[in-house]
Amino acid sequence: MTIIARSTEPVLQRPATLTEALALSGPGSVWWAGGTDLWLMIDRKGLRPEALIDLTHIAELRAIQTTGAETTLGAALTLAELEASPLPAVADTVRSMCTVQTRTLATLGGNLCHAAPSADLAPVLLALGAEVSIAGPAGTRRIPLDGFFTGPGRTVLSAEEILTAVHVPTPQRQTAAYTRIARTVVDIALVGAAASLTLDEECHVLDARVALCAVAPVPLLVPGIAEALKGRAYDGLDFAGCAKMAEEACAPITDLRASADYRRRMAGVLTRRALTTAADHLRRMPCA
Amino acid sequence: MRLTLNRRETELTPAPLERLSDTLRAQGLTGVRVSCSEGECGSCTVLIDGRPVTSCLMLAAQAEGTSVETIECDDPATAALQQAFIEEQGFQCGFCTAGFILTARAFLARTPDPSEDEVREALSGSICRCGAYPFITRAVLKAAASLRGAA
Repeated sequence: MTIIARSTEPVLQRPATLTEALALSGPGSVWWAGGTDLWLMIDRKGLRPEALIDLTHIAELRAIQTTGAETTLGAALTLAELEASPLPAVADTVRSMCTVQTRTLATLGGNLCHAAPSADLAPVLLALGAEVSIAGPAGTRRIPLDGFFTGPGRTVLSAEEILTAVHVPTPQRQTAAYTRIARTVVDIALVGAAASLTLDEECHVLDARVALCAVAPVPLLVPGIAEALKGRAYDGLDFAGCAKMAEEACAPITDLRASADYRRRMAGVLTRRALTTAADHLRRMPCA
Repeated sequence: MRLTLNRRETELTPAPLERLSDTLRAQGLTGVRVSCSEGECGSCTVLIDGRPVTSCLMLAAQAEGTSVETIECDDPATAALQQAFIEEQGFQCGFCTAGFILTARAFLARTPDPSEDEVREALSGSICRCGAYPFITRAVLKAAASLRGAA
């Protein structure tokens, strides 16, 4: 990245509405939320934005709304605020992320838009079948989170667009769980897996998803899980087949944290653990 | 920009990309210690509206309109934790101590009667290079008991 000497640093601008924020966008401007990743890109990686636009003072980006069918999480909610979210799997996931101090600043939207292959919120939201709302100069659009990530640090967002909200469907008789391997609590995930199970009124599996992080250039949904489990009684499910499917779906790299082979095997192990935990949660849920 | 700093209305003029930790230290609040500069070690922790933040990862501009508290802020819970850290020898070199105490203060405000495991998890964002962790945990549990007694 080219470092351009400049006499003036960009001032953090604070729009109060989405309309104001979109109007401030220009060449070289960047959206600022918690800033915990972005600051390090400025401080350590030579990123020199022309303008910084702080999205955390836009009220609608900080709201949690629950209707009958879904919960909508504003993209500028902090991880600390998500610890009290009405979605237990999301709250559990957040408590395993970064540090207490960073969770005060870091946001849901920042975690997704930074698009680290290891982003912890991605698998759990993919497993829950989340969709995202995006606002831009041409209006708003709503798309599945599956497909949002296009590569390490890259998403479908154009520079002028803002991720505004994450919509999580909340069907009856659904549970989910996220599990990860990390050296310490502060460390990023070496491998992460999330699973969701949804039952029908006869306590048979109606839907199931498994999603992985840190095993491919983007967080990914494992194909075929719902088909493999659909219609089976949830008690005594065998998840060995799903673990194998997860191993086959991933495309891990070897880096200083873990080898590709280790990551692939752990993708299978964590898939089994996440599904088992989700099934355990179902046991505490009254069934028809 | 205006903010409440250690419970006083304050006006500051930080540079646009100045980190909050640098702004606070320039105000003489040198209890804000910067070690890793990337939000890993917790030694620069301050409280923003009662929640712990590593001030090295935050622009001073982000603190506009908030209430910022450092270890220098006169507070009964801070005092109880300081006393317990002294009695339990919760430090050796002391570099990380302010961060531990402020993080513990925010935690105890929400969790007045924690288990040992809860204390360890709550403090997991701070690193003590002297390895005083068992003593720190004991000090926080002791301060929690004394604060419950005082309440």
